[in-house]
Amino acid sequence: MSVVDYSQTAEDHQCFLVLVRPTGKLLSGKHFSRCWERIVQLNCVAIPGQKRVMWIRYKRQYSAESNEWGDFQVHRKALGLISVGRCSNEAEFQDLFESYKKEKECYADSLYNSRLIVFGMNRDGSEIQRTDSKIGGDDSPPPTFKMDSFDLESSDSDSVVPERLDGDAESEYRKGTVEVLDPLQFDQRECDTKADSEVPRVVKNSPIVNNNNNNKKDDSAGPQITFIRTKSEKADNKKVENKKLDDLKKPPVKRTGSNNSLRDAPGSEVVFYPSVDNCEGLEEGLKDFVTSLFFVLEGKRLDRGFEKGDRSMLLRAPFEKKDFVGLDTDTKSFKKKCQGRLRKHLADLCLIAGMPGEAMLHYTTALDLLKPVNDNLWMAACYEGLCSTAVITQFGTQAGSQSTLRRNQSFSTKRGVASLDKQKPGLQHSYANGFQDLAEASVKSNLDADDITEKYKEALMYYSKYKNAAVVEMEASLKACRILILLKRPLAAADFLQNVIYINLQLSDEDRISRYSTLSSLYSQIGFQRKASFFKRVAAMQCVAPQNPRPNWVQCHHLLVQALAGYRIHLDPKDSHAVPGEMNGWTVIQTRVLHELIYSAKRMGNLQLAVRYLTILLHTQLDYLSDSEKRELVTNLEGFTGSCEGTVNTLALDSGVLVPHVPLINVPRVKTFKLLPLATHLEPRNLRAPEASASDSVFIFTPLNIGAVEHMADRPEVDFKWVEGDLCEVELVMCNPMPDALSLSQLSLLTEGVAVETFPSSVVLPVAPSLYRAKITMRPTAAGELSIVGYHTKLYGVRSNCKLRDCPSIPQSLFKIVVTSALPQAHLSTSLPCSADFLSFGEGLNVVTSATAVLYCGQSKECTVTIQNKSRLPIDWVKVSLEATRDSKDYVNEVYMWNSENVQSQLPIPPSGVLCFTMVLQGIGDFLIPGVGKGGRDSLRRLGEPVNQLVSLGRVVEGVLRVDYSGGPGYHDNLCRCSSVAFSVDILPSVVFTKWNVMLSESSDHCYVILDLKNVCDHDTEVRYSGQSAYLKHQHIRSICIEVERLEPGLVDSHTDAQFSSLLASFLDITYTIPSQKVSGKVDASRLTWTKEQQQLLCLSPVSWDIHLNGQVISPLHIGSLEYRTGQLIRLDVEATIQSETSELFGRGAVLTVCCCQHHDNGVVSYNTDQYVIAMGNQDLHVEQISSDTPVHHSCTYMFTCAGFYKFDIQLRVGSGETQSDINYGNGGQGNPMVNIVQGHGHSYTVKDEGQDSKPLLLKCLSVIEVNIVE
Amino acid sequence: MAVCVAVIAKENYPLYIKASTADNELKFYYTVHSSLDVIEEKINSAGKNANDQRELYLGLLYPTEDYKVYGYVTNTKIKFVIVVESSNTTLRDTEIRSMFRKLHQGYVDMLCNPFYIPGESVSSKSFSETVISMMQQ
Repeated sequence: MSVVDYSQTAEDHQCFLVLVRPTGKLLSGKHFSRCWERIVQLNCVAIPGQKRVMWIRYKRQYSAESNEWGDFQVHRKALGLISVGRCSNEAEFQDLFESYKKEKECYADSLYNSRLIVFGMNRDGSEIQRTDSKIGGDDSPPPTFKMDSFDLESSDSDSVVPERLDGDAESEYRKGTVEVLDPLQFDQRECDTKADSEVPRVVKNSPIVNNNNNNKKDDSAGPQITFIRTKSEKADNKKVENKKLDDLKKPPVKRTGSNNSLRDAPGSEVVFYPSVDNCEGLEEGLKDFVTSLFFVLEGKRLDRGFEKGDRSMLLRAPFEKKDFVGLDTDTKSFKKKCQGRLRKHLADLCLIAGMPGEAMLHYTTALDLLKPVNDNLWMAACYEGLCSTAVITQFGTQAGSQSTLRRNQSFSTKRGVASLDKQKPGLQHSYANGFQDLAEASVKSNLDADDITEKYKEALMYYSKYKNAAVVEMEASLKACRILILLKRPLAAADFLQNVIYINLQLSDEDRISRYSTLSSLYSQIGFQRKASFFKRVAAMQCVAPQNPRPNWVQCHHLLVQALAGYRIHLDPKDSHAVPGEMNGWTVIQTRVLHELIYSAKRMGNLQLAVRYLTILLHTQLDYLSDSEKRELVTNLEGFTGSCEGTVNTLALDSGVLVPHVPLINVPRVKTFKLLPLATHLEPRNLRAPEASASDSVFIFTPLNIGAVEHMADRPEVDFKWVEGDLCEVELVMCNPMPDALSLSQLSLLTEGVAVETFPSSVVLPVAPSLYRAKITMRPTAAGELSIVGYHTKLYGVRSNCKLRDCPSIPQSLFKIVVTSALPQAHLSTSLPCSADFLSFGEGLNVVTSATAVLYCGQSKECTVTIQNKSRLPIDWVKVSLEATRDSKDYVNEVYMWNSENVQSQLPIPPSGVLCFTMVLQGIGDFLIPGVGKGGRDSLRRLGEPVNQLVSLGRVVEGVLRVDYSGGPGYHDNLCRCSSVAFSVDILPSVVFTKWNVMLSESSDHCYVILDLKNVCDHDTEVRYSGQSAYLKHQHIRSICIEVERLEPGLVDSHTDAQFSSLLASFLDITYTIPSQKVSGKVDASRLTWTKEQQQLLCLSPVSWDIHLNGQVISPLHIGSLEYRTGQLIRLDVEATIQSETSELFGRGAVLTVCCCQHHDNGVVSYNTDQYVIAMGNQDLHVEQISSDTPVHHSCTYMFTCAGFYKFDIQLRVGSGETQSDINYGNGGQGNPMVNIVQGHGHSYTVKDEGQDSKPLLLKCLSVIEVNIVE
Repeated sequence: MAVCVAVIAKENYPLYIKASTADNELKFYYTVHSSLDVIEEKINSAGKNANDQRELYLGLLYPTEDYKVYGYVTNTKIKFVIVVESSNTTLRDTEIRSMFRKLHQGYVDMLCNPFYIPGESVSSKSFSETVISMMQQ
């Protein structure tokens, strides 16, 4: 026997072996397998009327060689044959039947019964008349199996010893067994059987009660019958029974003869079914068939019982046949052998017949018989049988077969088969008198797990003495192992498995493979995954062993894939729990196995798979490979991918195993993955500021981030937005773990949510361990929420979809970003040159370009700002504004000026259109020297001025021209973009005013403004004013005098100082040119400050004075003094004319006062000049009413007694209403010798009395009237 | 003497494996790897009676045609595996035990090195010498 059945279990010892064969050429394999499936379902049949169950093992193939071992172990004997064939007409049927007969011949030695199932013919169609003889007699509509007389020829070679019975008797006996179907005899037999097995039970519908009763009486008398006692009883019973049987069996002999119709002469039956789908009675028929087998078996078993005592033949194992030739058969030991072997055979039969208790008994007896004669082989068989019996009694129904039984049950119920259900409870539940249970219980206690192990070991030991019994030994080892798995004793099971390897057996390659596979699966059942993998791998290697002429790479690969688990190699990287950087399993072996896998895939011709395995190898073993190994791997991979690109699809093997895509996350390793915001000038902004959301909440903003800190780091959302249609970028920082430069191609992003246009890029990562920065670009083509879940690469011809959630270094599993609707893009430019650096403003202003200009103070320049639409969308809305730093906010708008109406009028800007506007830059300045040249008189005024006074000593004025623009769909979503131009203007100093003053001119309408200009620039300057020009060298100061018309008299009151200054400045037209720089500018005098006196001077007086000294007109511009002598009479005539414009003065009373005073050098004015001056005439003149028609005229005469300089002070005091003026001039002396004559020509100032409507006015004559009195 | 000595970490990956001859090293890798099944099984079954002082020496793990594989587990679940040739009959259980003790001592000495991080591959020279001495005996 060379064929090993690796699937054998100990439970198989109790099974009938039934062959199911496809017969004839017309049956397709598919039909057969469907039929086979149905047949196999029925693996357990309850014998009607008996409380026993038949177990059936079906086989499709069974070698005759194996069959020969049937004497040695009955379960190896093919007891039944079911041929399945197909035919459609008579001729075909004949052929079929012939082949059926041939089939039967093969197993003729052992067959108890056989069947031919024919598909394709009517159950009772054309074939009816031919099968009538048998089927016609049956009442059941589906033709059932019917037992016919047993084949005589076959019985000769059956295990029954031929000599033992004479031919007639035997044939009679056999025919009798056949007749079991007869209901009457059926019951008869049943009773007998019961008696034999010591199982007393109530027989239903039994016509023959007597027999039964006898037995019953015997048994019920002593329910606790021991086996020994019953044995003796049984022997007696059997003898009696046998006689009865013989009597009973005689009549049916005739029948048998009649049944031998032409077709089924050999005695078996043919059953017809129209088709595989239409054969409801199949199970029923099978059951009947099995039942028939059972009764043949039962007959044999009982027969054995009779044979025991007499001269018995020696049962032999196939290889023993030669050994006993010529052996003396009369020796005691030979007899013992015969007895022992026969007893063992009987035990086998008992076991199959469903009586394990009996079997155990027989085994033990057989063992006792065989031990003294050293029949080792059969002893081993006994031990094995014992173990099997023990297992069957302990686990048989519960463990192995229970599930199949259950399935079978439900199956039967569905088909409406009730017999199984009826029988089953009887089997499991205890009987009324509890006999069977007791027997079972005693059996159970006989052998425990240790005993079973021990017995198996013994059996194996004995088996191992026979080389020819290697197959049996191996099967026994496997059986033992399976039992120990059930018993949960892995170590002991492993010992048995180890033993399997040692059994030296000449096996075909195929057998070896299945041996290793079986070992592997058993090891994995034990829980020895590594061993299991080892043997799977060995099996795989066996498939392609060098001596194998036809290496089977597909099978090799298939087995290798199964071996992976034990080596902790996972085809799906998700299954692997390996932490990167930590050792996971045995890398040396893993690498090796993967290499084998790759090679087998390559030899299979599945390059795609080879690439995938190589990828897995590279992915998992990267950390443990040396540089040269990495290089070799890459070369291999590139070699494969040259003809077959690595895809991202999951590959399905023929075996159903899926090999998913393995992304090369580690090559290159991505350290960081960052979404880049759009350039600030392209960032979408809200067109209108969102409504104050702060008011919604009662809480005040806090910068503390309580509790939310750790969530911030790996949040998938990003806090900026991308814009549809714009190029968006993601930055990857990668490092290269390979020894050579990596060339990544088709680097792109894996996105979800929004359609995007990708731009795969290629990068070459250098060898260096340094990090490499790469950018992936893409363009969203719709608005919405975009999720970025990973990136795609192509490396060594292998595509990888790397998901971020698989990357250990990236905390986020995806990034979510909002893509807003499209916005136009504009480009800003200016006509000015760009500045080198621009530091004053932060990044918030989106500066795209800069412009710089150098201006001299007072100079102005124009430049053009261009907004160019670079997108395909029109720009519908533009807002231009200027931002400045805080300290230049006050005046930056004066430096930069543009016309916003001009801007708005050019909208909208079509795609690739241009908008231009002009911007004026002015070099403003105060033209003052800081801290200097304030004239000493205006320190008071300065206090109120802001500190950030414009300085003329050179400064930089920076401003940012901010352009907000929008258009297209984004405009409807209230979005805009903002670009800015940074302007920077260097204002260089040109000229400054150092001093300034006002002088009266001859004409009362004009006055002179005298300005001292200093050239503070580095170049020579030419200053032009009022048609004149002055040339100023560097740092030179020059006074210029500009005659201006005097201002309206009321201006001093109604204007502040600053307003006054700028008003005055508008009359002063001073320009300068710097010829060497070709620069010209305007000097702005508006920052000059004027004192009240100066302001008064600059304004027209309401009174015009006409003053004569001794008839000589004193002009307002008169400088110097008139010479007179002491004692000379000097007549002063004063005529004050009220200007018509100042009409509010009319009608008021006024006092004209003339007084002489002395101005000392130290600035003190002494009005007390009475000692030196004699005044003749009234010094005061009261005027009742002032009118424009009549000027106020007054004259008085002075005579000076002392020499010296005197001045006259003349003033007109206009009273409030009619009230008299009560103004005192100190001691306005009269008759003083020295006369100071003050002659006012114009300017006068007012002194206000607070709270009065018509204020008293004091109008002074500001002309200097000085007299020099000489001796 | 020993033809292969292996030290295996708690997580069942090899810390050190040395075969007497380099040419069949891979074979020993397989042998030692599959012996881990038995070791695990033995440890698990021993763990059931917790009160017992666990015997570190596991005994013969399994015999193969040419070799015998012995196992030893420290209290920190570091496994030692020694493979000897089946033909070498001079080796008794006691000799194997003493070999394991020596190996354990060598491992402990190696572990005392403050620069050795437990769980890393063993590259100590003195430990290698201990192992080689066991193979040459």
